Amino acid sequence: MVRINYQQLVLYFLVYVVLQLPLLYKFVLFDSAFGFFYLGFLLLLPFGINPFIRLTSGFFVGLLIDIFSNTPGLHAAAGTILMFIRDYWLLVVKEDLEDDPNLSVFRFGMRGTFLYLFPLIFLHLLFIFGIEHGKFLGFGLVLKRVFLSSLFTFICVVIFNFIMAGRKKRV
Amino acid sequence: MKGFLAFLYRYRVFFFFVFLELISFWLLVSYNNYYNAFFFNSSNQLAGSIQTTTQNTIDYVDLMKANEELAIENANLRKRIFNLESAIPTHGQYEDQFEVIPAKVVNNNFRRSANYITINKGASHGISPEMGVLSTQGAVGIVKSVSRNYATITSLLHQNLMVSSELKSTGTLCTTQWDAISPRESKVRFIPRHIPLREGDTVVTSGFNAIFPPGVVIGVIESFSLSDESAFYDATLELENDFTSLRYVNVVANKQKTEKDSLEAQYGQN
Repeated sequence: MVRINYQQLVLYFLVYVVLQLPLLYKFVLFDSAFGFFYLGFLLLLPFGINPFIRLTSGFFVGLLIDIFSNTPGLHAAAGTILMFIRDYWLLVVKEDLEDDPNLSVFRFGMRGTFLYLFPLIFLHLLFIFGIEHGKFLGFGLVLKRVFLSSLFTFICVVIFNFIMAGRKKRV
Repeated sequence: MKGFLAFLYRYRVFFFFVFLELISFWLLVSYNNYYNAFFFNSSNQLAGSIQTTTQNTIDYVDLMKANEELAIENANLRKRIFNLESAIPTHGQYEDQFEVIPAKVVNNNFRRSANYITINKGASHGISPEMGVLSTQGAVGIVKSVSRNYATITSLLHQNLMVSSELKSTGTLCTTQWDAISPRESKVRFIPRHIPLREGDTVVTSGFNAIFPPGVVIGVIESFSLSDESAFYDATLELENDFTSLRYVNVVANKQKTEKDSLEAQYGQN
């Protein structure tokens, strides 16, 4: 059993969450793809930690983002849902999780990374943009925004993770 | 009872999840309903100062452009002063009623479905919720909440914000409300069908709700249609303000707002 790598966790927090705060809703491509790479921190939290801590971290990271985006409760609600379904989805996608709880792009491989990250990111952003928009009129615009943002967020998360989690840390 | 406790214990994670979701939605709903109700927005000190630093960095990079814009703005303002001075010999009443507080935009969104602006002036500079915000070009939004040094503004680009407006040419009362499609355009609602509407008609604030002074330009009618069964036009206006490059705004304090509101409240208006 390999212990949780706290050093890496702190690094993840600094890069994914703290760096996100000044760049929130400013990290934009084509006027509709937003980079919400703070999701990288939530999605790459170690597997199998206490579910209460997991849900609480989803809630509070979301709330922190909310403070900066003037949407109190929105990201918090989405983050909590994300953390609730995360571990179930993780069990579907990957098998040898018991050996090493730490998660990084290298452990999944490219296909596994996409399979794990993209659907969760998509659902998360669908929830956020859907509720913010608040009506079905013009929902095509929202779907386009969600899809492009998911792709962009996914790419950001993966690239940052490539930089942070060196191959040597792989066990 | 024992069975019930066992049930709670067994699904404790799920209940915790539901509990957190309830808190989230409570925050969400109450923020949409009340003015200045919560700490959790960008007008608190920490968020404000981080956003100021970010904006300062961005500003430094396009300093050149900002200089040009300010020079043009100065020229325009000077021209307007000359025009106004010659047109109105005494401008006592207007000046007494409204006070103008200049502020700098430290954070601005325009790509979302509900947009907010943060400015670097707050309660200590005399700003309070429900004040109107203008730029030199036209209406910008309404102050939503304030801290000591920062204020959050509900932008005109917010679906829930309805601004009492009127057609300049006919004085017809209508309502401006954004439809979340483009940051350059907004919808104008409740223009009755007997009004002869033309493209290029100017829409200004009515001043009836005591938030904006009367006659502040919102935009110009860009297109409209009138279906056979509808009592009102379906009109779109092009916003006068360029929300994508907002730098400086003026907050307008109406000193007689409380007096007007309390008078109206007596008769159950609003």
